[in-house]
Amino acid sequence: MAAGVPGVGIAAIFFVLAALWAVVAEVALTLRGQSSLARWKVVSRQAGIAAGVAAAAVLTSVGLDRLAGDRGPGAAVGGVVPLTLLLTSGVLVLVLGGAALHRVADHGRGAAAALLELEERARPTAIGGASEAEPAGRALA
Amino acid sequence: MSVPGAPTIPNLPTSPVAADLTAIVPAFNEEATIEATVRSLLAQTFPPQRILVVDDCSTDATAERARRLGATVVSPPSNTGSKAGAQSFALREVSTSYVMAVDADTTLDPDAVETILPALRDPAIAAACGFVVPRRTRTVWERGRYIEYLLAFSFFKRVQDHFGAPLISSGCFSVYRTETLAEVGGWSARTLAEDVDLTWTLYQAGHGVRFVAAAVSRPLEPHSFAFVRAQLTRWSHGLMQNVRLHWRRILHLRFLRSVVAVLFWDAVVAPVVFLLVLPVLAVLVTPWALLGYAIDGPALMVPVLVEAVSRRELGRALVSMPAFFVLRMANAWFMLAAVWGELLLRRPLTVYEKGH
Repeated sequence: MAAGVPGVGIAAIFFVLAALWAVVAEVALTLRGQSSLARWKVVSRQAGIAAGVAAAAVLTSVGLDRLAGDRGPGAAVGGVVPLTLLLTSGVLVLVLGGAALHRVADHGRGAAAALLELEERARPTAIGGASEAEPAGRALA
Repeated sequence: MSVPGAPTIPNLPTSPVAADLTAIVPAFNEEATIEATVRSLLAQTFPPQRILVVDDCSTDATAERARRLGATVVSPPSNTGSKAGAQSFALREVSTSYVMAVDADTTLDPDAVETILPALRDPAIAAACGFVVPRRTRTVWERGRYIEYLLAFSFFKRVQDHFGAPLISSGCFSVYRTETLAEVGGWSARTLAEDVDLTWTLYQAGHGVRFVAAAVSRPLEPHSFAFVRAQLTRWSHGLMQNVRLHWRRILHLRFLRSVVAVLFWDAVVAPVVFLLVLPVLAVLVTPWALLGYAIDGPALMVPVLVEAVSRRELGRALVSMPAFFVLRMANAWFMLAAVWGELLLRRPLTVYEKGH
């Protein structure tokens, strides 16, 4: 995805799906009159590449199937590509879902931290029973 | 400087009037490359108003060569220790609305400035970056990087741009709104990847970044393993440092969050797969497992060849393809070291080792 970063295909699948999704999004924008020819040129180029990447993965699988033939343990090698794609897609869903959940959890943690902070302010301090929310004199009274 | 909040629209004449732009070129012992960089800036169809070469206490003729060509040379009192340090030193000298970062080993195509500046017409956009292609493709490392760049810039970065969040505004060639850049503190030396840090900081501050594919820069890429080692060490540690630094604030930026999550997963898992899982499977289960090193080759070739054809570089791309797999193994090794050091041992690398 970025230079210097090795990959095992998750990024590739993510961007293939994103490029294909962009077509759907662009159709919606076009219907609302918010698209343009320039945008469509970019979207269709990227979607074309994405389709090409998907086709190449399928062809690799078919090619390996034929190459392996019935040669012992290698016979199953053609099935490796679909299996890898399936596994990688599953991991992708988990990674994206995990990131989204992390955000929700972080948001929750933020809210909980804010509540705790409020409680801390309202709670009487150990010495004298005063709270930060009230002047010490009133609390003592 | 521009008026706050007002759209600062660069004047884009057809005559060779200087742009409201300063080019900052940080340089440390770059006598072999600085002239080509400055010349390419002077040869722009829309040249920058000022070329500011930051001679970071070089011990060679970098300053003289840059000065001879008409660049303004500034020098910090002592070596700043990083590219970010040199760039930020120069930022205080900038009085134009826009500022451009160009590496001292990078040349720009003649229309690069003219092509990239209009991206900043939109006041929401604070930075724009261009396409990067290695200037030389002689060694296996340069060829590997050539394929990496074709892949990243022809497909991944264009999709990122379409969704409004290019992952990185590349350090070797990017243009910024000066005022915004100063507001976010310029280039920071707190990580080893100042461009990642700045890009993600801009997003968090609510600014936009664009990728302009037609604006082309040509850096010299590492030609030897020693330079590859220095560069990949810097990049991999810098990436991990930025993930640690920014992850919490990135969570709230949907597309960027997804891209960084995917990138992080790939960066962490791929080294384990390439350096451990595949060899073990090959020895213990079946030698066919070795296919895992190149099984994605045909799929990866699609965007590479599409871009190569449009650049009329099909032969170069085909010949260079095997080098990509060699470089990927080096990437895996250095990324593993970075994950180990930065995330597991929590020992951040702080020494900035120069390499192209």
